[in-house]
Amino acid sequence: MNASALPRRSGVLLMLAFAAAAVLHADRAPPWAVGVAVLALVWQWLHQRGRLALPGTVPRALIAIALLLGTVASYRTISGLAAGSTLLLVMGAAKLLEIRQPRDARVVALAALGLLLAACLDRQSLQRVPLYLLAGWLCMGALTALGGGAPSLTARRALATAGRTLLIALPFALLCFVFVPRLPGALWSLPASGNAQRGLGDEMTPGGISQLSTSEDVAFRVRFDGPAPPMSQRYWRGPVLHDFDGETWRRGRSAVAQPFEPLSAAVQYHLMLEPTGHNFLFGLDTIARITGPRNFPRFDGQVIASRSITSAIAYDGVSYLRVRALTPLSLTGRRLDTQLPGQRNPRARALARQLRAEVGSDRDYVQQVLRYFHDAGFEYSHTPPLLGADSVDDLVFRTRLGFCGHFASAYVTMMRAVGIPARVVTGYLGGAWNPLGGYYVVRQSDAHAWAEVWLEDAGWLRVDPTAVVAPERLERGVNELLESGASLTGRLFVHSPWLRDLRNAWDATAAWWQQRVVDYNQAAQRGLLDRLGLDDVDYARLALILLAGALLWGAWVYTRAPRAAVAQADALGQLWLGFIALLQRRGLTIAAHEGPHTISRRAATHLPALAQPIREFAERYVDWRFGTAAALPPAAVLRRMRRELRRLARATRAAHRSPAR
Amino acid sequence: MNQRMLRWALRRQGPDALPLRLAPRRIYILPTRAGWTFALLIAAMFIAGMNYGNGLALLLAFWLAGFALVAMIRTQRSLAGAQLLRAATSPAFAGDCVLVSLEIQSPLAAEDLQVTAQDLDGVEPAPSSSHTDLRLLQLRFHARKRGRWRAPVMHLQTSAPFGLFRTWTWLALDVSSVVYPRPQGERRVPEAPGSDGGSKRLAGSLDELAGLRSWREGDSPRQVAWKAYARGAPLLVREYQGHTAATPQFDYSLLKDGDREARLSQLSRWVVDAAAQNQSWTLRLPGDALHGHGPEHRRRCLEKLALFDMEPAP
Repeated sequence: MNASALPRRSGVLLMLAFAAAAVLHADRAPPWAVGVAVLALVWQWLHQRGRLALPGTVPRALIAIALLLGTVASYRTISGLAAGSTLLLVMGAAKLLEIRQPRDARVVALAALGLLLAACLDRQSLQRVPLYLLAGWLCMGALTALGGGAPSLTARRALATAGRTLLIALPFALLCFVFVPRLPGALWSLPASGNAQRGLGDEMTPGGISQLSTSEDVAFRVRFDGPAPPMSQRYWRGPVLHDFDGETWRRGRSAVAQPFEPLSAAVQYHLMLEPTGHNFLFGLDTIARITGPRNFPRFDGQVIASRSITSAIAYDGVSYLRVRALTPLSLTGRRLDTQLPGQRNPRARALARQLRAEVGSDRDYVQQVLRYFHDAGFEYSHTPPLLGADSVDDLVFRTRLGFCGHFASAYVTMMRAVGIPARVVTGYLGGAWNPLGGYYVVRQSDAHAWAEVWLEDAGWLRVDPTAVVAPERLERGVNELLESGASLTGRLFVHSPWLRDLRNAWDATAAWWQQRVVDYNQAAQRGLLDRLGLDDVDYARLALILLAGALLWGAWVYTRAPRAAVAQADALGQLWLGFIALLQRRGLTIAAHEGPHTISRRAATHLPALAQPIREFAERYVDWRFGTAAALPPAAVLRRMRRELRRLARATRAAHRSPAR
Repeated sequence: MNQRMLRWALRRQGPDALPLRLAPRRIYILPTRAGWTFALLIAAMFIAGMNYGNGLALLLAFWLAGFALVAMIRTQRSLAGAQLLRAATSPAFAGDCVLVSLEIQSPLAAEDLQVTAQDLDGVEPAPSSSHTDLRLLQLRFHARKRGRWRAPVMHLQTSAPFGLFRTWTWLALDVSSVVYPRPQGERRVPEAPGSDGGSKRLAGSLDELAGLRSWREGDSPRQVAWKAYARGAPLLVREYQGHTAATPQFDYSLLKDGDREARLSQLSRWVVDAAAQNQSWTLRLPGDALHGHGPEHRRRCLEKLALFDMEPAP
């Protein structure tokens, strides 16, 4: 194949479309697959410039087999979203090297559309939407360029046509989106796509959380029913950790759940969780129940979903800020939460025993250690030095510089050292109010760790050692606290109200998008229809609404579709005839042989007051009929000329009558 | 199947007369291959979006479905309402091609309109004229036998502007042409009796007046009998006759051997050659004699030969 099978214009568009679709997967697909796509694009580009021949049949077949094997080797399967996308990506790239007729090119364009679909299934966040729009537009532009054979159809014209058609199609899409009935649940589940896990994990090394504090990613958004608790009370419970090996805290094996009774009013909230890749759900402090996705509470109050959170979900929660245990701590629970690793941290343990001896009760000891933390000159730092094997000893006696995880770890260790059951709770603290969205947004930088201790007369009690080291943390976010350590963007937002407003607006839009568009499900549909005054609609009425709307839209599309331009050509002629008739009514005699120029000149002398509009009208007619425009006048021009003619008729009527009176 | 559908469609749309406006009811539309694939893709998006409760995928599916619907309407509209203004044919010699030209008023580019027929030989779309919306589509048909040639049912199709749908109509136009006998044969023109040497003369010169005939396109104004016209007679042309002895006589009855077709081919050869040399000639067929010169005379002679001994057109 020497000459390229596809015209340059569609070739360029096709490559752009495929490149845009490939970009959507560039960060998730294996690097070799991205490389293959880039290579194929460069090859086809060089081919179009006449520099390189496309591979022959045999090499092409070998390439295709190698790519299939490569995909299988990468994923051990070709089903599932990730493997499927990669396969589509590399096979589309291979097809790009095999374009011998327009049909092959169309296959590539459709593969690019398929990649767009896969991307939509994978990630739906608002910031990716412009990318999706661009890719979709380019794909449709490429299809359009491949569809028409007219040489006047340049890449630009094809893109314009596709864009206009997409705009015309948008009302139909919105209509269907709102009114097509949704399924109550999934018919089959999406195989886990190996999403990266982010945010809090289910184990903690004391320094781990400080890495999160540089991230401005949204962890979740919360809307309270009723007044929100103050910031210092908004402890969002995540993984509760029991097992300590001296360095890392891990979730413990199951013990018996401790029943409790609330001592304060219930707090109800709606929480919109961003995908985490983990299976735990977050809730305020002591979680009574969570309704939404299937879930179950663990013995330590943490709530586990039945499935990993790979896409954004929303659920309702009920929590209490103050509770009291109803039963004594179970033996297994006591054993789990009092164990310490072998001989680690001897000095801290000795300190703990010494402090315990100074006070009379466990309750006093809890306060005594907090006091010690406060008086010993600990400092809150975003970038604490590394700790050795005896991490608690190191913190307490050497560095005295730590982040929330360090203090929680040290505090729990010192509790356990004297036999008081204690555990580390990780999660988030606080959340910033977004006035535009009417919700609190909790970011990864709000990640926090605190302690819970068991007191015989009260049950589990929340103690936050960070609060005594850096009390301001409870009132403000990390970024305001740690000038040097927090992320640059985080600090920027603190100091610029304007930027903060902007971020709030963006975040509110993103939340709206997630809630109203991506998660538009049966319940949301019913809610929207209720608000539209269409309560209690059944499928038949929905179908009727859809049909009526689609017909209206179809009629609109039908009337504005360009058609054989006979009517318009006549329209121009009729306008001119109307003009002549008008002049004749106003007393101008016009011979059949007179051309537009002569007529307009004589009319201008006949009606000198209107010389200007007459000349303009005639010129416009001449331009469109005989000029270089080489096209029929668009409807807008015809409308304008009709208007001018009417105005002329009115003006001449006045001019015609006034001398008579 | 296809034939039955064609018969049904032709019965439905009735006979075609020019100028022909392509009414919507005679226009058919179906997705192209790319269109079916596109539909499959949309279905996949819809099912995936529905199943996973993924609003974005659903929105995309609906959007593309809307795009396809717009494409369908626009493709149909690009043919519906188009006007077939003229259908012209040019005569051809047997063995050559009859050229059918269709003049269509349409917003589509000529490249996007395809006209085909079942026994087609080739399509030649010509570029549209620049100032108007007229498109000239040309189609060649093999002319195998002399006689009157009738255009078969033609198929006018387009898949513009998106290539997702193709829309078509069948044109059963009453278009005919004449296929001349193929010029063939090496025989010499037989000498007319009483010939005195065969000096060649230029047509229409100092020959004697043969009579008057009615005016036809292509006649020189100098030949018009203006005096007769002034007296109120129709436009007449003076017809001259070259020197009778010098004018070649192409006489069917003088060709003794060979069958009818071979003889007609020989006559055709002579007529074509004589016309090429700008001669006058007389063609004699049983019961008929044509004298004259020039392209018009050539056309009449060839047509006579083409239709010789054929049943009259129904």
